[in-house]
Amino acid sequence: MSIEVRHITKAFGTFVALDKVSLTVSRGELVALLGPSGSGKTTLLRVIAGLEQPERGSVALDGQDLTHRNVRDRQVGFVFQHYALFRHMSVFDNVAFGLRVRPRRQRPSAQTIRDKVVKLLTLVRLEQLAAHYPAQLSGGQRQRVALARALAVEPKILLLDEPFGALDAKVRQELRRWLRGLHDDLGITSLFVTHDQEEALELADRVVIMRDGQVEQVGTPTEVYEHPATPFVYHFLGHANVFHGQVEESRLDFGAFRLELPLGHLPEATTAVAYARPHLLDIAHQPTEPPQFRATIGSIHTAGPLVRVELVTEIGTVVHVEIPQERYRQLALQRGAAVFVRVKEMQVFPQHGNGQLADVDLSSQHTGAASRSSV
Amino acid sequence: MFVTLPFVARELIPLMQAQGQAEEEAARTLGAGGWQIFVQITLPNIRWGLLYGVIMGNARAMGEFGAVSVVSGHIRGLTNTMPLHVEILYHEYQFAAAFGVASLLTLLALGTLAARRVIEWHVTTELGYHAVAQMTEER
Repeated sequence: MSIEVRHITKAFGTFVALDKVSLTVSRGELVALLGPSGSGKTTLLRVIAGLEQPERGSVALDGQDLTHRNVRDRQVGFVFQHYALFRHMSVFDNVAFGLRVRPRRQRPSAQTIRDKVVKLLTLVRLEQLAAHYPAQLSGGQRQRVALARALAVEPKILLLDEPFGALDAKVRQELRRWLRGLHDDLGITSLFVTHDQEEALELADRVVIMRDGQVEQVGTPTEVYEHPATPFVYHFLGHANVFHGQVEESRLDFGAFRLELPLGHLPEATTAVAYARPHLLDIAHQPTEPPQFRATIGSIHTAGPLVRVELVTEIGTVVHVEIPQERYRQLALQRGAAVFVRVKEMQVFPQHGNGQLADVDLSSQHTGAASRSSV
Repeated sequence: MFVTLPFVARELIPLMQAQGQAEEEAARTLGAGGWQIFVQITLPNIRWGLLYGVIMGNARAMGEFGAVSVVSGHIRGLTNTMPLHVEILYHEYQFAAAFGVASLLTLLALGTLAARRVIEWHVTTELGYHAVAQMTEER
């Protein structure tokens, strides 16, 4: 079942939660709605479910317009942020609810309901806890009950609002992998909301990044991570070192260093922002190929697979660099040492208007730069 | 009724606000109709709060004096309350009966206090689930 959302606008009073949002989700896809709080991602999910009525725009499932259809008739499964389990009902009754409230003619027999609930509880590995009440369950178990309850009505699409938001890190990891497996087995079109970029990138087929009620970028995890369309996306999808600079004599001057770039489309004195991920910077004792800049080592964190080094540039800005343990041992870095930081790859965005951007890959060709326009 | 219903409402409104409407919305996405949601989800969730309101309303009704005396004319056996009955008996020099009714009223008051205590405990448990949910949210 595919989802087509067209030009949805939704406001709460004067606050515009969604501003002409369009989105297409293909059949069987698992799509993440990613954004900071207040970006409208939950509202979009609720509009698709029919829990909110949009002021303008339409929602269609498989080409069928459902904008004005009741929630009951939409056949969507919705997993709420805090699961919204019926706390006066046992786990079994929670899952059976959707089947028992059907009109008498469409209602399955008690035996069919029982079989189906048991099957679903086995699927979410909770068959032992059928008689328990929500208050007696752990967060992860509640989440699985909510999922089983949503699946019981055989929804055409599955919508999940912050499905792992209220769980601790370890349970979250486990459930994430499990949910991905479940999605692949059932093949049900799913859309989930998250503010955790790692979760979105790891779990989803495609990621929709939202900001202030608008879609900032849509793409596969690799696309959005490696080619962010805007500074906001770059910032949101991981740690970033920010350099503020200006175009001078067709070069970008960042104070600490200069970039030789064929940025013909950028006029003189344009302010620009360059972003570089910590793992796309390298440290060396001797000057190597440009672009590079001098810096002093501030602190070193060696825990984990990557060594995180904090450096201070000559102009006083702080730069974070991540290098593999092996490279760290090879360099034998000391606090306070003066070193060179080499930029392997960075992305340059003009400060005003985020239409144009330069995608700079310095690893292949240190002076070469590929400019392209964002969509 | 008019004097006591606000007591029920005052008890229920904050309770329902604290519980939110997530469960009702969940029921809606599962295909339940308005009446099914009210009977199967909303009512069971507020049952203790509702009972609490009724008990408090009843307590207020038992002790009613002024409104009944002035407005409805306190006709014996028709529009009368216990405190008014105590007054009537006292004026008729039936002291024993008057003290009897007064004692009964005291016992009812004690009973109400006990019931209130029990229900208050249940209301906190009704809210408790949500308090836990909110705590996990903050974390």
